[in-house]
Amino acid sequence: MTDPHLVDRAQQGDLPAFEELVKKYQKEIYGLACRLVLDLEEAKDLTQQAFLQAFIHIRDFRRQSQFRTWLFRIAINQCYNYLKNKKKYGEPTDFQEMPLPSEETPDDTLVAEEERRRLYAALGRLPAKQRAVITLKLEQGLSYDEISRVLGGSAGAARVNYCQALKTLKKHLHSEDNHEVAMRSIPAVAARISRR
Amino acid sequence: MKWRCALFQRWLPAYLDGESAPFWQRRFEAHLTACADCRLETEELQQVVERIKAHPLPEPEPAFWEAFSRELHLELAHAVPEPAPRRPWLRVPYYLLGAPVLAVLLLWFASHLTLKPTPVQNAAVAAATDQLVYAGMDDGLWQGEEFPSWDVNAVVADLSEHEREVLLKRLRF
Ligand SMILES: [Zn+2]
Repeated sequence: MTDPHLVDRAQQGDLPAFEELVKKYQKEIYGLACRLVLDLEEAKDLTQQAFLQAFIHIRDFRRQSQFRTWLFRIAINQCYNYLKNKKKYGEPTDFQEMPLPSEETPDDTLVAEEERRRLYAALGRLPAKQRAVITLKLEQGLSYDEISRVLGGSAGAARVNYCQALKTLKKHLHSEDNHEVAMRSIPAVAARISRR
Repeated sequence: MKWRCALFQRWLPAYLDGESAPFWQRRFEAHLTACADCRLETEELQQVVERIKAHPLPEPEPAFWEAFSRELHLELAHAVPEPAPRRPWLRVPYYLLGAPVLAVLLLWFASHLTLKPTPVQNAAVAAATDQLVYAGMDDGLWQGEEFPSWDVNAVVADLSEHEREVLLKRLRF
């Protein structure tokens, strides 16, 4: 069944129809939340909250945009709110909570996982909204126009922010990679990393 | 760095995904064939994009989604969609009014059978409402941005008045 059909039924209070929409988009929304809040447990909670909000406000959805874009907007608002509160109460963001390889990972994938870790660390150093713009563009494949519908502002602002975000990420990645090279030159630290 | 390079490099990510205007795509291509600095920058940014695409988030286990759906279902089953914002052309057929009226009557009846909510419950409800993020809200997500501003005047400062005008006109998207 298509989105407009399911939305129609959900707007009439049909829970199974709404849950079908949840199944369809849960992975994307969860991925977005993970990228934004850098905490898997919180991301799960925020994803559920986003769907709950979407259900409660489903009758406000007026098809001026796609249902998917509308969901992204709700989810980002949830995450943004969470991060704002977290900042207010002074909890530091800890990107180390992002998944790391398990003990029995073979050696060659360890290198790839180390690269993943550095990428996540660099992403973690970006402001949340830059992470949002990168995720929406590169992982969810939204156009600038769609991004502007999710984040507000104009398509031009979305483009400026994407360009800026990618350039900043490049800088952070460069320093993460350099840091890694410096660490590897210390045998004890290198050994600790390879044990991971 | 030459001002032209600074300008191009600002917009390189948009060039990479082919979303800039054809005029700019052509200008980029022409500039890249002539400029080694910008070619290097292009390559590096392309690598960043590829690196992000090569490392998607790990897929959660099926058990994760089972628990996710179970928990969410419980919350959804207790939630009631809010009525649509009133629109004059929206008329509900009278025969559909029966169910809500019945529900209201039942709720009224149930509320007189059960205990009145304690202040603690009320506080919990108030706190939950506080955290609601209304989707349609114009929250100005881009306001108070921490992004460095894209100050075109700084980049084109060394141009003549006329050149600047022409360039700024073409820059608009
Ligand atoms: Zn150049």
